Amino acid sequence: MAEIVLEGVTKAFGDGTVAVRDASFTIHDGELFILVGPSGCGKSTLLNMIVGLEAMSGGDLRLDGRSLRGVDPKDRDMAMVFQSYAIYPHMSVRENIAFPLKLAKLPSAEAEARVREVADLLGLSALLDRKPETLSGGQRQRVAMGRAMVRRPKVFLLDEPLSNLDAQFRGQMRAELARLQRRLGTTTVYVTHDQTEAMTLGDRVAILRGGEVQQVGTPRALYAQPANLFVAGFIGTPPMNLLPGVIDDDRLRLPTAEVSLSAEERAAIQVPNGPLAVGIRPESLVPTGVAESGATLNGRVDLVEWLGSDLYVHLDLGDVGTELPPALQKVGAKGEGVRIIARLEPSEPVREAQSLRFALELPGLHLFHPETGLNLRGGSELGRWPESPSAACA
Amino acid sequence: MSRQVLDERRLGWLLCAPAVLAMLLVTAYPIAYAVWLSLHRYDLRFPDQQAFVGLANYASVLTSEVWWRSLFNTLLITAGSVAVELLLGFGLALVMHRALVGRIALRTASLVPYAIITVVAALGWRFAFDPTTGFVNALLGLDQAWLSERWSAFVVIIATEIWKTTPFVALLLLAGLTLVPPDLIRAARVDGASAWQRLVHITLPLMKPAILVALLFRTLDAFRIFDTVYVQTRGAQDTETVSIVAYQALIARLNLGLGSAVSVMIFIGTILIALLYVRLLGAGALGRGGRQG
Amino acid sequence: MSAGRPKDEGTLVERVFWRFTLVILIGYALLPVVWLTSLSLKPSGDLTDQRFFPRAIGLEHYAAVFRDPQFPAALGNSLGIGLIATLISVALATLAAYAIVRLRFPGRQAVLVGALAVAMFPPIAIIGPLFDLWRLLGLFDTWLGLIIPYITLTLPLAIWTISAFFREIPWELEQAARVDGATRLGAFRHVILPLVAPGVFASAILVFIFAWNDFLFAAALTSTTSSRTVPAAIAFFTGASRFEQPTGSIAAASVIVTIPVVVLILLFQRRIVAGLTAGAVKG
Repeated sequence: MAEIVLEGVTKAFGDGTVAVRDASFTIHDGELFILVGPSGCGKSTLLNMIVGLEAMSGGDLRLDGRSLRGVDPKDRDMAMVFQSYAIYPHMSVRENIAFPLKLAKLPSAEAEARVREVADLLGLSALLDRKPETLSGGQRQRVAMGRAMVRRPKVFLLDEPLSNLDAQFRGQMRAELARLQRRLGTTTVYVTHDQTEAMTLGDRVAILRGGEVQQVGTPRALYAQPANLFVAGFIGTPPMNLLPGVIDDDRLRLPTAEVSLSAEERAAIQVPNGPLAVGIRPESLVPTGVAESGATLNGRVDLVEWLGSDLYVHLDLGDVGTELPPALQKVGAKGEGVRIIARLEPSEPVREAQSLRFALELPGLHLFHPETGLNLRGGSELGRWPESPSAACA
Repeated sequence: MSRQVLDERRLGWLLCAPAVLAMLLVTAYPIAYAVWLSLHRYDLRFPDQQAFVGLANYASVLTSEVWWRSLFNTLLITAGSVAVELLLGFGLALVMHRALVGRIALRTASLVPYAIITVVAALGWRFAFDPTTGFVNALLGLDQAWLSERWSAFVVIIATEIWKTTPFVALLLLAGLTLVPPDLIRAARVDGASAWQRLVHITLPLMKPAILVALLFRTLDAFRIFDTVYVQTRGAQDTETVSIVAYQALIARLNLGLGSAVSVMIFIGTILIALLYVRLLGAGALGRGGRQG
Repeated sequence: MSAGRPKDEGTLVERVFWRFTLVILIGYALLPVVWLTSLSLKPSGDLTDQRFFPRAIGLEHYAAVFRDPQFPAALGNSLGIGLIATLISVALATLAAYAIVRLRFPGRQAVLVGALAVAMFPPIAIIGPLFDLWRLLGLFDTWLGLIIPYITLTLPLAIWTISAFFREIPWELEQAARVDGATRLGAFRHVILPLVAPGVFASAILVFIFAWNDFLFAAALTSTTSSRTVPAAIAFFTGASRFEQPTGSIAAASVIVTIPVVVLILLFQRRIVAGLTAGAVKG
């Protein structure tokens, strides 16, 4: 049993900079929980506060109901894998893995048995007497994992554990990590800057930006129902297309397109008439015939990227005409000429410079507040996605 | 302020305290005591004549020909040895940097002058230049009593200093040299710079901090020269340096008052030299930052 | 050593030039040592033959040096005083360097700057006061009377070099040890100390060389064989006759005290160079 509750956890420095502001969420027992965000978002600081390497300047942190304020890292019963792996260079693989047990004064026979068990599990048995400098990156990563596992801690903390591996190997280790975590069932907090890693590994994910938690949820929830423009742009490859829109009673005007709204639909969009930001996932853009009626988006094909399993089509929608809403400018959307990316079937015969037409439907559109960037239909649909798989068994 | 921060501070001070105390007790307190002594008539041969005399000791130091001549001698030895050491040291550093074969042998050999006891080195060179035992006169076909004449004595003293400390300068400069990115040198070569231009326009400016650090340490070191002069001439033939003058007054003549006045003057001289270099170093660091930005 | 550097040996002329330069430089560096050795091996009658190499070889001066009570006593004093001063100085410096590099506390920059100031300090300025104080405190002509100033004057060197070595340690290792269940002290003992040990050792060699080398304090603060160290003993060496300088004995003594230095250099040249340059370049 290990449940971590964060309540208003804050880290502020003497010079007024705030690395983490008011982070509040719960990490459930046994889940693989991901902290993700761009560099400098405070995710590593948050992890260091959880493990106790950095002191909180505000808020509270509880492990199974016990507050961890002022508790030394060695007394928290957590194990951590560092980004650099932090393998002790003067100790052999065996000594590295046995080190936490030696500090815990475990009898040497039992320690040896545990080291052997962990080494077997991780395929390190043949390497036990080697020195770290002779190990490959993947082997070091496993030694670091072994050192964390050997104590059988309540919680694993992993700080970008795959970022030092080359791309090919990373995918393999990712799967291995996921399997290992399921098998051990230990509560795990995993920090990464890579949203693909977050989406594929995480039971639940917390997205951070500028020290603030943007959204906490399952990968599916984050994808389908991003809480704001930042999450929308951060999750998914290629990222969600963002367009400037204008709402005017029963119509939603977009570059080259106009969607009509029923009175009910209009009421659900809680924003007065005027500009707003509109997001469309690349796979929500479905090409449609010329003759078909209804709202369509028209663009000229700018660039075609054929990836074998996918086809990314970059389109130019022409001049926007209207001012960009402030929230879109913040996300970094470009002013002149709106470009979007559509993800199509690889068999689709698309050539550069041709025109394409896409059917637009309201359910496929994400609407964001023009200034705050918050999802305008946030509350209504969150319930459709299960909070976490383990929540059901708890 | 959190407990952790306070704990960290307390631990920091606690760990530094022994070292700081040891340094203060044997420098700050004695130098204060030296200032106090320098304001008194205090001669251990006549202990009952002790009295406060104000700046009288300084007056007699500053009006004495011995002080000014020893200061001139000290500055002469300093300038002569440091200038040559820097040139030779740079050459030695370049050789150590370039040499493919025998680099380790050269580095090991050049540590010998650094590590050997100064007194031993000074004696070795004294014997070498000695008219009866030495090989130098025989080698040069001269009949010169090197240490019995002022200027030739300076030559021997300065030669000894140069031999003893050039390797240290070379090692400092070598460390600076290895910090110059090889790509910059290659880029300059592509840009059409000759070997000399690469040295003057790329290597030397980038090494400026290392050069200044080496210069600072060596100048201060040469300014307090004692061992070599004491062993080779004991200050005879007008080769006294300021440290020799202070030592003779303090230990040989037991005149602590006057000797302390000389000591305080040397201390002030050291501070002046250090300030000069700190200003140069500051400017150097700024100049480097400007070029990078 | 030169892996990755193109093995450009140049033309034959260049190769010969570099080899020649190398031999000249090595010869120059070793010249006085070779000269003193050859002097020490010359029989007394040949001492004034003005030749660089001895015509005949004898060990009479070495025998004389060890028959005289001064020199063996000085050797013992130098070793004892040097080792004790080194041990204490390096221990104090290691604690301070750890704090300076690893802990945030007001004044840590001041400690480094203060150490630098002490490094620039002219020792002659405190000879008088120490001479007077040591006579009062009964420390004149004792081991402790030399050990104390040696500790003080080598602390800056030790603090700067050990700090430089501490800065190279990946501090995630300390954090890892803390998470693995170590106290701050445990992490220091099990992880940091083994890693910084080579650096501490390099500093210890430099500190020992300083103490082994010092003449000024030894000349001013000692007077008898009970604490007179090697440099002072050699400088004040008097042979059987007062009127004839015992050149051969001095040369033999010089050679004997140079041997430990050469051994240290041969064993640890890389560490000595690292220690010498660590503090200076990064500071």
